[in-house]
Amino acid sequence: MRYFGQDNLYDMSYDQQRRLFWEKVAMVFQAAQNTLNPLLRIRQQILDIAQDHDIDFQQAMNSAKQLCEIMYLDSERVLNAYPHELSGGMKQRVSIALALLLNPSLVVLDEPTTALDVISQASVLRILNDVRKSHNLSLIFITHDISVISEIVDRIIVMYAGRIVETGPVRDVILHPRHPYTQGLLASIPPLRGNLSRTRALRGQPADLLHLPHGCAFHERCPRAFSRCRQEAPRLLTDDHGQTGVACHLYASDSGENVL
Amino acid sequence: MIQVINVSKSFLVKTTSSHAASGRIVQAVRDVSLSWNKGEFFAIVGESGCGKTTLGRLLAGHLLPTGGEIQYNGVSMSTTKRPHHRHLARLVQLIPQDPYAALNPVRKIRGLMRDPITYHRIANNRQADELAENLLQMVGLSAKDVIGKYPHQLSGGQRQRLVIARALTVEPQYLIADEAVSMVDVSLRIGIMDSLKEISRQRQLGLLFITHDFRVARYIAQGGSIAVMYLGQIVEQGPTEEILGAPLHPYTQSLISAVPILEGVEARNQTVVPSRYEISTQNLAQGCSFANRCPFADQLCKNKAPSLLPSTSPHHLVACHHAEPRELVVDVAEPAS
Repeated sequence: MRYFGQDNLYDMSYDQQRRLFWEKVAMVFQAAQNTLNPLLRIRQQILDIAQDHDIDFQQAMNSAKQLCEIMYLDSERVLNAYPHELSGGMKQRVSIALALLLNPSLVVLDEPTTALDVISQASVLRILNDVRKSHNLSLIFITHDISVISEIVDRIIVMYAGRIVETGPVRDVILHPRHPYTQGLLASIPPLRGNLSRTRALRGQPADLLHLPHGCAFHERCPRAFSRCRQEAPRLLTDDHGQTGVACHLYASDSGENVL
Repeated sequence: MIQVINVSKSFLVKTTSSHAASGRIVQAVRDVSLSWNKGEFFAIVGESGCGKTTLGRLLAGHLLPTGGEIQYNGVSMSTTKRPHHRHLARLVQLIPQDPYAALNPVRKIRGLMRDPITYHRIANNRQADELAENLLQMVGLSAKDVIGKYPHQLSGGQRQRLVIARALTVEPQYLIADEAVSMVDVSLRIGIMDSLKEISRQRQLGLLFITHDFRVARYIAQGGSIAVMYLGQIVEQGPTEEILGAPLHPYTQSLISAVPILEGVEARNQTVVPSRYEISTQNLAQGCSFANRCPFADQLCKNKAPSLLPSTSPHHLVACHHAEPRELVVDVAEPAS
């Protein structure tokens, strides 16, 4: 695994790895309330990061204040607060601000809005979209709900049972999903307007990783499975320089695709 | 029919912290009136803290109102004698929000299903097992696989189905589902909602679904109605398609605007953004409770609280001085199947 053309992450020394994380690659975790130290004021947690990464305290506080502004947080109140004094949405915005503190190039967000109310979720998504543009950031957004990301991301990777089953530009995948799993995921989002009859449930239970079925891991839930799906796991076929691809026997005969 | 007449519920918050003075009274539900018929599908939508769970618990008889009354086929829960409660409790069943907390971890599924049946003397032990197995099958669980298991051996989706089956053991006429799918993966939600809808339709049950998600509310209350709650009050209520197609209250409009849309399949026509992201009770002594977050609020809203009145149609009620229909999201394409 290489970040930004640097050495293989696993060959790096502990010290090099520590420089990479947070300074270049930062992460926002699923349950924001659990990532903040309950015993320290937010201000102290910012200083801890600054100290660990040899940043001037004053400089760290200044960028923290700027980030609070971007996040619609009252810096005066929030920086002096303990985590329990903030609402769920505020804590989530604080942890995004902390992730951005050292100006990383890549931020990984694991279900950053799942624990939030609709309006807080909308505010966090709007902020992420703004920050992404203003800071020229790359975001990796991990979620189980495709509807959350369609307004934010450029490209989507759909995973099932540990493998990539489909990838492509978000608009293409949403309008023309190819893998039956992606089709099922999209059909299980009830529309806000228009025809509800196209909403369908995805059959069966999520794959049990200890007892994966032979062949394609999805075939037992797949409405279009045929004999080959039970025997052979499909490979991810990609085209368009690896930007779009699908791992499904239904498309295996398509010619002109590179086999990854 | 269940009738809620000017119901209020307040709690005394005893904790002392820097924000809440000791002995502060929280009004979770304020002056709510509605009626709910057998066989009617109904959704209540609102943010956390809006009182929707408290309203659900009042309807299920778990809490008694501090003001007003709830009548079940004309009988009020608060005036009936204790033994009669058992009968009313059977009438309305609450499906709890968190299927992890709702099941006793040291009891097997057989016992969990049998308890309500024997408590309400619906059947003897042998018949109870048979009834339990039928209900488990009905909600889509394989009875012979799960009946000898403990709750921790089931997945989240299975537990959610189990608490639905358990609510059905006492043959209720009304079901209240409190955020029944919010803990379940998106891919499994529709399956659970379909079972709930089908069972309610077959048995002619009234189904009340409490949720913060307009997509879920619309899917459940298809052809029924939606009520939107804010800080303990119903601010808008009407037929499902009218609420989504032409919402009148700025709060309803901000909730719908906050739903992430599937770009390409749906498109935003316009958005209403509240001027503050967090629910707030500041400066709420008089006037509209949404005034301090409302983008359209003026002096009138700060001085005088609007009442819930019919508007564009007799069944579409709204509590707002500046109610104006706004179409927020439109359907743009038929997605490929």
